[in-house]
Amino acid sequence: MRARVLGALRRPPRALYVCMAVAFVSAATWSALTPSFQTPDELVHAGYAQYVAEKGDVPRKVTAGFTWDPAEDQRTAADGVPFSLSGRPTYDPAASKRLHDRLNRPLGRVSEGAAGYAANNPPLYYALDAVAYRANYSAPYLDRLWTMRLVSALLAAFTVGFVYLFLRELLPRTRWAWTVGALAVAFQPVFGFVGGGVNNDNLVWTMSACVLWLLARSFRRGLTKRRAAGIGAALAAGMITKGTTFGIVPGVALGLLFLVLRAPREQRRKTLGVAAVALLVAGLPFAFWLYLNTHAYHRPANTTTSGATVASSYSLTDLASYLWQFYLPKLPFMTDQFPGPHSSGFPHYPVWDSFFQGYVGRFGWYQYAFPVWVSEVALGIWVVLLAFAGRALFRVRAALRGRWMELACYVAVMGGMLLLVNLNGYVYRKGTHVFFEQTRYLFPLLALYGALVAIAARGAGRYGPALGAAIVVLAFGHTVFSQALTVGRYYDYVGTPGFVQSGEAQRQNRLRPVTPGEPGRARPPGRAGP
Amino acid sequence: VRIRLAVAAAALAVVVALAVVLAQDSSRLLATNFTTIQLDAGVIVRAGATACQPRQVVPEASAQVRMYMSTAGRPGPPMAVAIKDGSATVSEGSHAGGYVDQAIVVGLRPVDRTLAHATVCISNRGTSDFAVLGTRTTRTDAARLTRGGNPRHSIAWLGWFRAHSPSRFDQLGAFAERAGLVKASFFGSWTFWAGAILLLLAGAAAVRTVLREAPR
Repeated sequence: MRARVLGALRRPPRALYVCMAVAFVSAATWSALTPSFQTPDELVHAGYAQYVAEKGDVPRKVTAGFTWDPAEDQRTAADGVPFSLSGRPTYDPAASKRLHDRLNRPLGRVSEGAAGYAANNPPLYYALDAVAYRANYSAPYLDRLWTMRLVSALLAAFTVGFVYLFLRELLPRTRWAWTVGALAVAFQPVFGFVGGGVNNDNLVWTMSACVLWLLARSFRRGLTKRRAAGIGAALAAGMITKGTTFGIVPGVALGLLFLVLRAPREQRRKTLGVAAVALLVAGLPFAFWLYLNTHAYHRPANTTTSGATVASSYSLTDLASYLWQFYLPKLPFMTDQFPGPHSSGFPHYPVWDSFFQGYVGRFGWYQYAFPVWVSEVALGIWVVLLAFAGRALFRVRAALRGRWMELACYVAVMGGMLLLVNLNGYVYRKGTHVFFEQTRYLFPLLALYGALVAIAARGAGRYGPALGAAIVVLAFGHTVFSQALTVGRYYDYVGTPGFVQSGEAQRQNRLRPVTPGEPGRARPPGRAGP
Repeated sequence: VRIRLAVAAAALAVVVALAVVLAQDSSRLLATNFTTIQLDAGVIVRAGATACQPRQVVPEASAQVRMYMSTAGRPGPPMAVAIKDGSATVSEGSHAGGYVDQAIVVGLRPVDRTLAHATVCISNRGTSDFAVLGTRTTRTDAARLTRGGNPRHSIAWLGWFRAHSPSRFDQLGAFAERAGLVKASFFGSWTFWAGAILLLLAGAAAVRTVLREAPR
């Protein structure tokens, strides 16, 4: 038995483990660099995980809207971190020591309200974090937080591993391209950044990459019971992590249908049974979770959005107009959904402003980014890469015709994901008047991103390996510059004030040493100074 | 050879770009008088008027002051800034105007010592009004205007900058120290350097793997 397991472990190429290690290191360096609670929604995700770890229970939503009621130790830590949106900035080592002294005292560790607006999420990711939390239970809060961050880094490694395996099935004869695609994902800076924080998106990305790998493997080698169970299990795990996973469900269902249809006629009934295994393995745990959710944990069945009040004023035509204008120019008869930053704070060209610039790098609480010219350079690079990818696909068009079902499955996975994100964005906007769509919500498609990079490199023909190597080096540089940007943001503060509409008068007209401050969410009027 | 050339070219591009980034000045900020601007506050300076803020701290080496100007969408008028210590003018500078609802920087004669109780005067030398964004404060600390009054008891936000700063490369040690604060108890400046080395090793491992996997 042991020999069999070892044999199975030995089978994947060494490059797979290198790619995974690279992804782990990249995310781990992000986890050490980024200030505590400065990855998206980390306060509430960490609060949820802490509650699970301390009580062995799933928190209910006990706070309203976007409020959050942390445990005493988390509040102490959050108040002491000088990089919050409203915190008083300091680089003072003495202040840091005072905070550590406070955190070394016995402080309360349990608050159901710590999960805040994340409370409606299912618990699987937080259960994993809770294991890490318990492993470092006696340590002060910030140590426990970092341990939980490392769980995300580990998940980032597995995501990249699954991307590698997916590419191995997708492009079986181009071994070098597997490494290129997987490393492009490993060095994607937003992926690394979120992978260095406590955030349940990380497990969603891992499970989605796993599902895509198993689908590709089934398309290449046939749908077996084991693969079907694997697809179902990964899908279930994703759904018990975050509602975002629903976005890939239609594509996966279509893939299973195609796998049945392409089976030889005499085996079709048997394959149908095998596909049913996937659906059962996916559906039963999720149904069980829904039962527990409402009956055992007394939580609402809503597991996708978190506390946003939704207005009832949306219509199908308005939604269609929103979807159209998100990706394409407005048609004359449409109401302008994205009239521009000066009117609503919304992006004018969402695909460019939010998705693409966010992909190039928007960090913190989706707050600071590279200058726009960096995105313009990146767009130029991507135009070239897309041309190479188009060339590669054109050259294998005959083979593609034979694999159209597989291709359609991936397109459906992508379409479902985009549609779900936009639907959430539309509803969220109607309810809260806040823009929702961020690049990371598309990261369940990371395997397809890796594939695009790998195919682009292959499109360069005999220069493919050279182009692939250059892509990997540039991707590494991308992460380096993103970390440099983060250093500048937090540790080389340039003095931009926060902006608020109103508030208590401040009497702060005394000398403030050079410190990392916290710009507000709102942009200052006009251009910045030095 | 082809693939090694590609790696070398891409690596050179990354290194050169990084060198350019690190050679740039680190933040020149010395201090600000407060951190959050209230958009509904601000000091309205009418044409020809002067607003003076008492009890301001102006750090030593200040050579520029930054302000957020509101001009209602029209080009702002010429203006001037004077720093007074008692009745003596310690430093002054001016701006030619033309700004539209934006931050401006006014160059000053460098201040050679920290002024703990300076008065900063902002003069409107044009024919239209502007507001300097800021916050509400007490009647005692509020800006005094020669025309128009200050009913909201506002003061302007002032950011003080030195003329030059060490390069980011020179400041790496300071960044490393700051990055180690308010994190896990065993973190320190060493985590910054360890992270940088680990990331570099990861990059090297990635390149080595790509080279090894390339067809021969």
